[in-house]
Amino acid sequence: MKRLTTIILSVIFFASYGQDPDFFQAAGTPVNPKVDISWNRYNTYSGIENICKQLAKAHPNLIKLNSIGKSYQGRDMWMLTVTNTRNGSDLEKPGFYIDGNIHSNEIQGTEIALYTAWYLAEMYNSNKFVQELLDEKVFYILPSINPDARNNYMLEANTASSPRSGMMPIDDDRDGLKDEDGFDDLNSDGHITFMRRKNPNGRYVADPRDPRRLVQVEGDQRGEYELLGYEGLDNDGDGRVNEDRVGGYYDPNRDWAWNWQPDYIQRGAYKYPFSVPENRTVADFFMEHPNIAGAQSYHNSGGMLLRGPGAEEDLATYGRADVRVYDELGEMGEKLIPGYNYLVIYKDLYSTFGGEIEWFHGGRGIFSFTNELYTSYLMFHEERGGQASIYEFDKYLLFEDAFIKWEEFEHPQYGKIEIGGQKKNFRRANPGFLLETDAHRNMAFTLFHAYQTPKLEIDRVDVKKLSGGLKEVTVSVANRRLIPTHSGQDLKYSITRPNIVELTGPEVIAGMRVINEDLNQTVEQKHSPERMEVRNIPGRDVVTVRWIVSGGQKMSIEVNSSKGGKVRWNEE
Amino acid sequence: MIRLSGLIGVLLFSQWTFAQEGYTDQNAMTAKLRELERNQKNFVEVAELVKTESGKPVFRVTLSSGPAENKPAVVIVGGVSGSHPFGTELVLSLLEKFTESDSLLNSLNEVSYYVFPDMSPDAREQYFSSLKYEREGNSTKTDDDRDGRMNEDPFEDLNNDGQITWIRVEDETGDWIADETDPRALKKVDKSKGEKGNWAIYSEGRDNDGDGDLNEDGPGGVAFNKNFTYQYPWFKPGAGEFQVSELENRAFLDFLYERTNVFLVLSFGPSDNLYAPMKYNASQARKRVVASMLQEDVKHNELVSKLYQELTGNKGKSATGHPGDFMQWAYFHFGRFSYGTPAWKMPDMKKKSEKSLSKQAGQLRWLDSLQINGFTEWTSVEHPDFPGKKVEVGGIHPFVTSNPPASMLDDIAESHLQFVAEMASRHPKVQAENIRVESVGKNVFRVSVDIFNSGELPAMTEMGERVKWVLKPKISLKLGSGMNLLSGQKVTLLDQLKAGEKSSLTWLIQGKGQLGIIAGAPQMGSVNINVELK
Repeated sequence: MKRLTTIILSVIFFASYGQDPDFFQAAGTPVNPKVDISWNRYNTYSGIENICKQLAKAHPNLIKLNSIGKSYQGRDMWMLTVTNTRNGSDLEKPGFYIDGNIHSNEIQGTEIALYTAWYLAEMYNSNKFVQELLDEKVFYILPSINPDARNNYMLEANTASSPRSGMMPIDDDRDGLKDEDGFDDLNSDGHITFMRRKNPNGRYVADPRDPRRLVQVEGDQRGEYELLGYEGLDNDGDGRVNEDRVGGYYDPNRDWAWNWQPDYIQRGAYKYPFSVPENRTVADFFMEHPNIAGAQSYHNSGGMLLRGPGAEEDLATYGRADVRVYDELGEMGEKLIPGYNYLVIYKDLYSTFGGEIEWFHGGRGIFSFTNELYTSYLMFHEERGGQASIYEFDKYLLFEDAFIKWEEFEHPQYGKIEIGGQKKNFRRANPGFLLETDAHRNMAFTLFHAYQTPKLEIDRVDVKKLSGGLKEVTVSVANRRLIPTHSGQDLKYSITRPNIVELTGPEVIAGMRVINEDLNQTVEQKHSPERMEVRNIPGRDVVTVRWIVSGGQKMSIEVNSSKGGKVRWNEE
Repeated sequence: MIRLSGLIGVLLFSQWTFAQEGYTDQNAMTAKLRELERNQKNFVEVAELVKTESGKPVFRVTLSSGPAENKPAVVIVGGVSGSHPFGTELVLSLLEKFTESDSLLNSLNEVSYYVFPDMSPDAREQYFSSLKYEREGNSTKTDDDRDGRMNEDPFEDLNNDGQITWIRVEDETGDWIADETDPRALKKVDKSKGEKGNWAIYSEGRDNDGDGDLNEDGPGGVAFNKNFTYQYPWFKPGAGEFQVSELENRAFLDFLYERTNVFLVLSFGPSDNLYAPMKYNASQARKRVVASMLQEDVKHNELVSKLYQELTGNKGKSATGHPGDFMQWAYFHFGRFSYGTPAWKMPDMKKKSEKSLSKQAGQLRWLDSLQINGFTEWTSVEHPDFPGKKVEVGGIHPFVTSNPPASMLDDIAESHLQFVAEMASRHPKVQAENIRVESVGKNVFRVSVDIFNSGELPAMTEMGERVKWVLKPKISLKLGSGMNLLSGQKVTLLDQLKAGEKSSLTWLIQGKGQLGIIAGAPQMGSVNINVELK
């Protein structure tokens, strides 16, 4: 950590030399980026596509843009590969995966993912820490893992919570019809708000402090309104309103393989793992990128840094060694993002089966977090202000931009009603002026996580002469970061192939892993001794192998680790 | 019996001939299915569901009169496991017999069938190959021992007999000895009783990668029957990297999930709840992640198992399913009635006078009784992994004790066809009874009807009540123009409609004219009634 701080300090110093007639650099932010982007608004699918293409064009040596497949409605799933592309294949560097927006209404993860790609590319030339990061690691950034429904959320009438799923039609009520009774934007304002009706028997009155707001009456007090739920009609005449709507209900974040359970156990599960087509593209990508060592999936909201397990049944998947790694990362996260808490899904949030990050960890051995972006703490930097403070925040900081005034409407089933309430872009999505701050802080946490993926070095090579023309070669390989090449979960199931430490040059007579060098405890590897298999290189630790060799040829040693990358050493 | 002796005649003449001579390979199967389709164009449709990784087609055969989707349907699956090619033989024979029977073709007016003769074409090919071993995996490349290397340690046919059998190595620490009742057989010793072994046994081959294990990572692949979501065996050999990872499994489920008319799934493979029914375990059934068949469904399983035993003579001690298998998936996650059986098991060969009989001795006795050439004599070989040791190759051949000779197929198919037909005829069936129209005056009518399940099965399993892919019986009204519904719902969904159960509905309607009532669900058919309000 001391080293990180030094780097950050030197960056601030270094960057202040930026020369530009019009601008003066604010610390920690690119002063005159090649791609100018406003970080106080949200992007539709075409907006995302534009940013991705501009970034890839402006930074050809740092960003590659690829489509990893198609969404259900046929949109390209754009993936940004961010790394120094001139110093070796991305597959030979520890990878870090970032996505956002798996729940389509949870939009700001996309902007935070885009901000990260933009920030890394724009800062690369002026910032040593970023340089080191992109030289050593690769970021795979999928800004939206659910582009179809993101567009639906933004472009069609919705609430702050709809749609949460993707756009595959589904029969929610088991009547053989799909999406036959959805919301109806009765007042055609693009937002689905609430319906209320004047009713002397109702239990609500307008709040005298802010009449936009309804409050429940107490005791014997009489109300003046009843609430009738979200804007809508009984479209299919079954006596229910909005019961089978577009984008209802399957949950793309209950579609991942680890601990997958069907809908009757885990509401929202679809047919089988990765039966949601957008997720399938990501699963395939992971199978083709065994170098991914860390992952972040941005959600909203609540200000949480979540790790698995998702269900109590799955406690054993997060063993003690892995939890230690998570704890160190999570505690740093709490410091970097005030108002956010490091929590465990199954016990601090709710129980889930088949979540995305649980597959990354359980099925692929990858240390993974979900950040629940935005928290009401950010309004007044106070804990839990309640409903009243939300109205106050809207009034004094957003100038009532987040609210639709109650207006009368003639409803075919309910008669004379009023429609109004909070806009869909409020409560869960960051207000514009808070977006860049939250993006930067969350990115900083994710970069810390990525920084802690394995960094391997050949620490030392000792050669000792034995009799009979033989030599004993002892090699130590260090992992300079927190995250091991193989998590506890990975080791338990041998998910990722072992690390290979290979000697070429002289003839190898025998090879062994050194368990304790001082006491000369070794374990011989009988088959292919020149290719020593090392199951794990733990975080901030060293492993040692030893060969007995014959012949005077020059030695080369290569360490080849799926999640730890490749390093080489050549005898001078 | 004539066919059987003919077969034995062939066996006597050619050493290499196989006990299951007469099984149908992929080409013969394709030809057979196409012929069935040509012969019964009005009832049979053969389509390719998907191609496996290696390009082999997986076939679906639809038996129906008119659009299959309009009737309750039965799914029949063979080739569930590549080591059980008999499943495919049986399904092919069922298809042949079915399409030759007028009365069964007639039954297609009531029920449709989706038939999948072989879900494991890549694995089943090994049975017909010049090197035979019991393969379950498809052609997906897998690292079975998860050491980072693919297919690096396959079997080797050390004695060149075309069969992967066994090697035995003389070893004081071994667990096996020659059986005194039949010295060709090996039996396991019980060391806790002080018994001593003198042979160690391994599958036939070498330790190609020098890791100390023999033949632990050969070609193939992911097993169809280990790749489903119920109790998926994570990272076990043959299970794949995650559930439903394989093209066959995925295409199959994509097809099934869209067939809401399926009420029954019958599979012929190692998973078995027909020789004996599943047992009910209350605490497992109450768990959040349900791990026991539910009570009503167990009762049904008991009845069906009894029927099966009566029709086929097949009986057993306990049901068997295994993690990731298809049979249990179709019940636990798909919510349908799901029954499975290997359709044949080697009989128990122990004589009454004998206290016990080792497994291998029993198998040899059975092979001998039918004069099946299913054993290779133990012969010495030099084995590089066991230098200086006495090593012999031999033993019982693959497949022969879990798949019956082709000569037995006809009888087995005949009784199983009866079982299939009987099960299909039990489908849930919606009927409308006691339709009444009463005038309550001033142009207002009370309409009532009993929606009745006249079938022998409930509209869905008890598990199906929870599964959202099983549709609910639905009753909907079609109001004539000018009609006004005063009371009652335009659409009613029922959570269940058991066999013999009725649901009484009533509506108040203002206005005269034709009123339509439509009732049913895809898995139980539908009725369409028109009544005149006047």
